[in-house]
Amino acid sequence: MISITWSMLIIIVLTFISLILRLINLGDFPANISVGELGFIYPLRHLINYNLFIARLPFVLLYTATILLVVILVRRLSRPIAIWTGILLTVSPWHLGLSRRAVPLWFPWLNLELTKFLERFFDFLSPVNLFFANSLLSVTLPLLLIGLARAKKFDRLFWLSVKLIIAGTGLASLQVYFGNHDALVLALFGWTILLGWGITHSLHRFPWLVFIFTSIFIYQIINSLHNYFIHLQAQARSQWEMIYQPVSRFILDHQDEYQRIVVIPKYGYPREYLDWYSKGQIDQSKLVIDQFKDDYLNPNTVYIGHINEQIKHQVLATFELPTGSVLLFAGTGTAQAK
Amino acid sequence: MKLIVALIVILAFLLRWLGHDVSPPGFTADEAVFGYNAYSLLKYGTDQFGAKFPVALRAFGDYRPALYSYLATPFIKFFGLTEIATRLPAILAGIMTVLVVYFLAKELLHPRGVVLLAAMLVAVSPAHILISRYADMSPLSTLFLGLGVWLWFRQPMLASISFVLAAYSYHNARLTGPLLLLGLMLLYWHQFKSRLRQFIIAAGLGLILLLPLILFLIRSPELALRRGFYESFLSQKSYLPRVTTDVSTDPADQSPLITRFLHNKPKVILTQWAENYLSHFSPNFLFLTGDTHERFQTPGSGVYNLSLALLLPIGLVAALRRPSLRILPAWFFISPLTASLGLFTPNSLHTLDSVIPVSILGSLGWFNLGKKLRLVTVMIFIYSVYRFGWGYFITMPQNPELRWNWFPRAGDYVNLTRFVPAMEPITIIGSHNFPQFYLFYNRIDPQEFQRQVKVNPIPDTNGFEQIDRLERFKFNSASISGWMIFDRDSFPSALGRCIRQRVDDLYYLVYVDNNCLNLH
Repeated sequence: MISITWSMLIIIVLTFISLILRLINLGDFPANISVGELGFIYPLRHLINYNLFIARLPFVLLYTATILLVVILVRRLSRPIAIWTGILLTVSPWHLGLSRRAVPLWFPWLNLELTKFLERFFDFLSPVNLFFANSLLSVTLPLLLIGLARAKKFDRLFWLSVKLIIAGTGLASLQVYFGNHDALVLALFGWTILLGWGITHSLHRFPWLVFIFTSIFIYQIINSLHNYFIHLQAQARSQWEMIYQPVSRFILDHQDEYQRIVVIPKYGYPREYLDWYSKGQIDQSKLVIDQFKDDYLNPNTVYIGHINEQIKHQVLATFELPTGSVLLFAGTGTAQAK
Repeated sequence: MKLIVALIVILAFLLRWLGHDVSPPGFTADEAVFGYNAYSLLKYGTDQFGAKFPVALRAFGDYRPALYSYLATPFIKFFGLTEIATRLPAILAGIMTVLVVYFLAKELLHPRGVVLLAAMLVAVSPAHILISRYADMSPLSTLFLGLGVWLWFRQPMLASISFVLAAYSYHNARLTGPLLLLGLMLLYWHQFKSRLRQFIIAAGLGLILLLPLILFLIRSPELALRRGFYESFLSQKSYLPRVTTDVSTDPADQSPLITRFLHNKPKVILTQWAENYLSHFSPNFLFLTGDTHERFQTPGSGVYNLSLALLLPIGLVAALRRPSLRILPAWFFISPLTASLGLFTPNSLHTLDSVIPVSILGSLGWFNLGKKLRLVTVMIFIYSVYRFGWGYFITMPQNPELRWNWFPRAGDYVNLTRFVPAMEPITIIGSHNFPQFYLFYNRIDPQEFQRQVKVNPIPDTNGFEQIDRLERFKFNSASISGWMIFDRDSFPSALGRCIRQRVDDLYYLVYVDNNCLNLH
C-alpha cells in the first residue's frame, strides 16, 4: 500500500493547481500569437491542425514538470524550502507566462560587447524588474533579508540558488535581443529557491511574522493572477498581430470576388498569420504581400493597406484591434479612383 | 597609518579641487542662488529678499535650507562672490566626509585595512566627487549625518548637534536623520540604555537647537513644505493614471467590491513607492549608468565604483550577520526612503549619504572576498576610476548636450548685456532666464534687488516663483522686439539676421526691429 506523506500530498496539490492555472483557456489566452511563437507553431500547423491549444499544451506539461523537478530536487536538501519553492513557482506570473506560450528556449548568441552585457546583466538583477515587471512576490524580499541575517549557515541550497541566478542571468545577458526573458528561466528557478530559502529561515525564527506574511502573500497572489489573466490579456489583445484576425475573416468572406488580394507587409509575417487565423482556408495563390503600387488600384484587386492610405480607394472595410485602434483598411480601385 | 590617511585625504582634496575650469562645465542657477544669498547674508544679515537671518532661503520660492549660504559667507568674504568661493563648503564637506568615514569605520571595524579602504572608496566615489564639486546642500547633510552616527557612539551631545546641522542643511536629512537615530537606538539598545541619561540630555539639546526650524514649520508650513509638495509623487498624484488604467481594463461585469479590493489607492501608492524605493537598488544605477538626471550623471559611470558590484553584496551579507555592524545595512536601506517619495527616482543627489555605509560595506566585502577574486576586483576598480575620470573631465565638458545641463559660460551670458546701450530694456528668453545669474555676476546690491524686483504672484507649474522684471530686464515676456538675449534652445532661426553678439553657439544677443526682420 502506498502511504501518502504530507509533503507528497502538497506536491500533488501543487501539480493540480499548476495544471489548472496553466490550462484555463489555453487556446485563447494569451490572445495574441507572438512572432517567436508563430515561428515555432507555423511549421507544425498541419500536424496540430491549426489548434493553438494543442500547440501550447506540451509547453504547459513541460513547464509544470519543471516545477515538480525543482521541488523534488530541492526536497532532497530541505522539505520546507521545497514546498515554498513549489508554491512560488506555481503561482508565479513569470512562470505562468512562459508555460502558456509555445516558445522553445533559444539563445540567439552572442552579445559579446562587455558594457552591453553588463548593462543587461544588471538590468535583469534590478529589483524593480524582478519584483514588478517579472512579478516575483515582493513580500518575500524582506523575508530574504531577514533570512540572510538570521540563517546559521549558507547551505548548499543557498549557493545552488545563487549559482542558478548568476548562470541564468549571465546566459540571458548574452542574448542578442534584449527584452527576451525566456533565457532567464534558469534564474527564475534560482530566485524562487532563494526566496523559498529566505521565507523558511525567517518565518522559522520569527513565528509572529507568519500572519502578516501570509495575509500579504495571499493578497499578492490574487493580485498577480488577476494581473496576469485580466490586465496582461488586455495588453495581449492590443498587440499588432491581432489585426490579422479580422483581416483573415474578411479575406475568407471575399476572396472569391477578387483575382488578387494584396496585403502590405507593414506588420510582420502577414502570409503566415493570415494562413494560421484562416486555418489554411485562404487561397495562397491569390495572396500578394507587397507595398502599394498603382497597379493595385484595380476593381479585380482588393488592397489591404495602412489606414492612412485609404483616400486612394473605395473602402470596403476597416480593421481594428479588439481595443478599438483602427490599423488597416481593405479597399478596391474603381474606374473613377484610377 | 596616519600617513596613508593623509594621502587618502590629499587624493580626495585633489579630486574635488582640481579642474573646476574644465568640469563641471558650467555654473548653475542653484549655485548662483547659494552664492548670492551668502553675499546678502554677509552684507546685511538677510537673504536676497530681505528676511533677517532666515532658516530657509526664499530663492526661487522653494524655501531651501539656508545653512549652505551661511557656511559660504566666510569664503565669499575672503575670495569675493566667485564660483569657487560658492562651491567651497561642498568641496570641504566632501573632503571631510572621507575623514568621517575613516573614523566611523574605525569605530565599527578594527582591522586597519578595512578602515583605510573604506576611506579610499569614498575619496574616489564617482557620485560623491561629482556632487561635492558643485554647490549643493547634499554634501553637507552627508557629512553631518556621518559625523552624527560616529559621534553617537562617543559623544551623544556632539552627535545631537551634528544631526541638528544635518536637518538644517537638507530637506532629506530631516527624515533620514531621525530614522538613523531610531535605528541606532534599536540596534545598539544596550549601549543606548547604559548611557540613557546622556542621550536624554543630548535629545533635549537637539530639540532646543531645532526650535527655529520647528517654529518655521509651525508658522509657515505652506512655505516650509512647498518644495516637498511639488516634488512628491504623493501630492502630485502621479500614481492616479495607474488606478484608472487598471480599473478601465477590468471586466465590465466585475463586482465593484473586487475592483476596490484589487485597485485601491493605498495599494497603488504603496506599489509606486515600493518601485521608487527599489529603483535605488538597481545595479545599473548603482554601478554602471548612474543617475537618470543628466546633471548628476557621468558618462560611463555609475553612482559607485563598479568594483562595488561585487564587494557590496558580500559586505552587506557579512554586516547583516554581525550585530555590531547592523547600522551599516540599516543606513543603506534607510537612505532611499525619503528619496523614494519624490517624482524622479532613482536619485543620487537625495541618497548621497548612502556613500558612507556603501563604502564601509564595500571595504568589508573586500576582506570577505576570496584571494583569486581580489585581483579581478582591483582591475575592475582601476578601470572604473579611469572611466569616471574620462567621463567627467573629458566627455562631459566636450559633449555639447551634456555640457548644456550645467549652464555653461553663464558669466559670458551675463556679459552680453554690456553690449546693450544703458537704459535700454532687455528681454531675456529661454531656460537660462534666471535673474540669479545677473545678481551673482554683477554683484547687485541685495537691497537694490529688493527695491527693483517684481515677482509674479502666480508660481509656474513646478511651484517656482517667476520674476517678471528686474531693473531694465524683462523675463518671461512673450513679445519679440528690441534688445533680447536668447539661449541655444529658445533661439528662433528666423532672427538669425538680428544677431549682434553671441557666446559660441550657446547664447545670442539680438536687436529685433522692422529693419532686421524685413531683411528676410
